[in-house]
Amino acid sequence: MAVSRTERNDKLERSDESLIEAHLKGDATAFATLVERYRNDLHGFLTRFLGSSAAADDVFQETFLQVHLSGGTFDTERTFKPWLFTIAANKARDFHRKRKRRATASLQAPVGKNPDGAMLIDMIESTQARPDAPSEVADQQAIVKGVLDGLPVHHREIILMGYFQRMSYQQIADALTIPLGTVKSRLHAAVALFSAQWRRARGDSAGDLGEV
Amino acid sequence: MNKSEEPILDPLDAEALDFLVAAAFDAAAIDRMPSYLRANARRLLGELGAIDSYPTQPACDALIDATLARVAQAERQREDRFHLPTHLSLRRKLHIPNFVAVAAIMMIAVGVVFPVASQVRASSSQAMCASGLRNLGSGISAYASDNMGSMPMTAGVASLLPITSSGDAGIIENARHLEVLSQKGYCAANCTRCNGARNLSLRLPLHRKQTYLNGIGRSAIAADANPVQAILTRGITPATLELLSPNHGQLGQNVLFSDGSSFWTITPILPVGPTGVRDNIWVIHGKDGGDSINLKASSGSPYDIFLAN
Repeated sequence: MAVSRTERNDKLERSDESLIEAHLKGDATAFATLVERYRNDLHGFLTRFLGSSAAADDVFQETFLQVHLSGGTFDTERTFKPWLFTIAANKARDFHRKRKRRATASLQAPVGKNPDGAMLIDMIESTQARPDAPSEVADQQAIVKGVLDGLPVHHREIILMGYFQRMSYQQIADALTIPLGTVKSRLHAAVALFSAQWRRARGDSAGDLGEV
Repeated sequence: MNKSEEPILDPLDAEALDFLVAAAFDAAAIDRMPSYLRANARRLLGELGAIDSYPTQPACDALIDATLARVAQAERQREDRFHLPTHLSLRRKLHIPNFVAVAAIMMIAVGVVFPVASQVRASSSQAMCASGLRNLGSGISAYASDNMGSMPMTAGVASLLPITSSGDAGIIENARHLEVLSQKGYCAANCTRCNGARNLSLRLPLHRKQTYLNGIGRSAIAADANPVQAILTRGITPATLELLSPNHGQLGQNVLFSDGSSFWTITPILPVGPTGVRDNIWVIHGKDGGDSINLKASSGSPYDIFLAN
């Protein structure tokens, strides 16, 4: 299934639905084009949903593997994107559940046998902006990450689908397989919570920084 | 968070949010909204716009390659698991050597199964024939019991017929008089036939006197069809008299004895009578030529047997 970047670009003009149809008929490059097309969109969605780029990498692969395995069940009369994000959201929720079930260890636990050696926390990717990033942008990123990561999963999920993916109420309802009215009420609640948290975080942050 | 604790969006914010969702959060669409919603829409868009600044890293090429490799690996595993040609491997999977190998295996299987099946069929035929022969023996025994110990033929009209030069009449009478058994209900209608189709041979009294069942010791009284007689009646002299009955592919023959027992033998030369003299059951004792079945020939001993049909 290896395909060059040029071949991938040649197929960028075809619709998602025609590409998945071509893949089912044995076109080896069609699937690569789909992956290429959604690489940033889906990866960004998953990073915001899961709060971790590494976790997003795993779920990104799981999602496209499932697309390949379940491709035969896709109705090409329908839109591909909501179907893709349905799979991605399901995989992300599974990932959340598995992460909760995993055994936990203190971040201060030593990595090796030496109790004075490196600790687990030293091995974890920092969520803070890089030291060389502008401080205001870094603050903004840290706040929005803190607020979004702090939302319940179902609120975070629907905000990302509604705002970040610009999906309509109907598309979200299809993707989450919930009634349209539930989509509306859930998105309203999610936005209300996000706004409240965002204002509070901004206020706390501004207070800490002595600004605004 | 319980449903009752769900935060509630201000009604104007909710209306503005619905507009924004319908417009795919296009800032330019705010100007087309009712004026009383515009401030709420701008504030919501500003707050939600903060999500864009969430720190992310773009998906690297290595992730794309890893994803495609994982999908390819899954496809290979699926093919290996089912060994079935899919749309991706139909042409690759079916080659002429595959068909040749399958055909060769099938031929070997047929070569092994066919002889075994034939052997089983032959054994089954022998067993059924032996069972029929024992039923005939029961019929003869019952007949003898009702007729002062005499065997069917000797009680029939054949004993009154003149002796012919060829002996054919006697032979015919011999077979005909077995029918007495089935006609009088001593055994089933087809008890004089091997498996209901092929002939059985019956003892022929060469001395033209009644033969009593309890007077001949343990002697053969019936068997599968006589091969020597079958050849001689066509005017051909067999090169050897030690032939095997054609009823079972000349592999051997079932033989019924006067005591009601039967067994399978691969030679026609058996011990007969109280003295255990070895005799060829197909021919008259002491005769080894074309006159072996000439009914004019006299047997040297009442214990000699000659099974004819």
